[in-house]
Amino acid sequence: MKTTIKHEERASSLNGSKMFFPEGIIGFETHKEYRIVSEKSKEPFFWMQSQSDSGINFIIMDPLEVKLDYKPVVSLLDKTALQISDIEECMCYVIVCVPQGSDQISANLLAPLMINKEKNICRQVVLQEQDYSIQHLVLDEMLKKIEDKNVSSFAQAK
Amino acid sequence: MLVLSRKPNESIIIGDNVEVKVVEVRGEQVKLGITAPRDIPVHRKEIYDSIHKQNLSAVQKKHTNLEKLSNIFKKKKDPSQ
Repeated sequence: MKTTIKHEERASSLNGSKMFFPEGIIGFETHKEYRIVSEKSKEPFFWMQSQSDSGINFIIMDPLEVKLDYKPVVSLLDKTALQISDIEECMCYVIVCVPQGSDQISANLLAPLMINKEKNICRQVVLQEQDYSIQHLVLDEMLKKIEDKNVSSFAQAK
Repeated sequence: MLVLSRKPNESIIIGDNVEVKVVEVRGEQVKLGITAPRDIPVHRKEIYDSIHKQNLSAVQKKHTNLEKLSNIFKKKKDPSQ
């Protein structure tokens, strides 16, 4: 699960990767296949696009970018679903939420996306008894110190 | 929905190996003790509901300018950039 590779390498190696969620993700159970779109200029953020509906896209990122000591503990049930015996067999991403007209950009650390590296089976797991936030602020107060603070424009069409 | 009345310290069994026990009733709050095998996840329903809601609000039509977001993020991590 450790991501020690450089951003540039990661962006190019991930671009186009397919992700298969046998049970979809929570609220989007019928969408099972996604594809990662990554570019160096967008690091550490990636797009995760539904293959069945172009209107369904998620922004995802490596949780270690926002929480250095992030250590999800995955239940036996989730491990069975992912067909792994050890968490090290997985990569982990979290969904980022960029609400329209708000600077509360957050990452869902409580329900990460786990990916079986070898078999490419993915699952949104819900961590139990772990004190992680569903809305972990990505930019927090630091944002206010940055001159270009018009974050609400992120959510507008280019 | 099956509705059962239970008193404190009474419990119900679901299947062979899940036990839900009423530990304490105080005013409007009921404390439940759940004994289940480790491979059965137990969550408060609100947590599931809030993840559902969060996923719905995270879905994008790809209009977000990720380059701009990326620049701000990098500046935050390394203000010298």
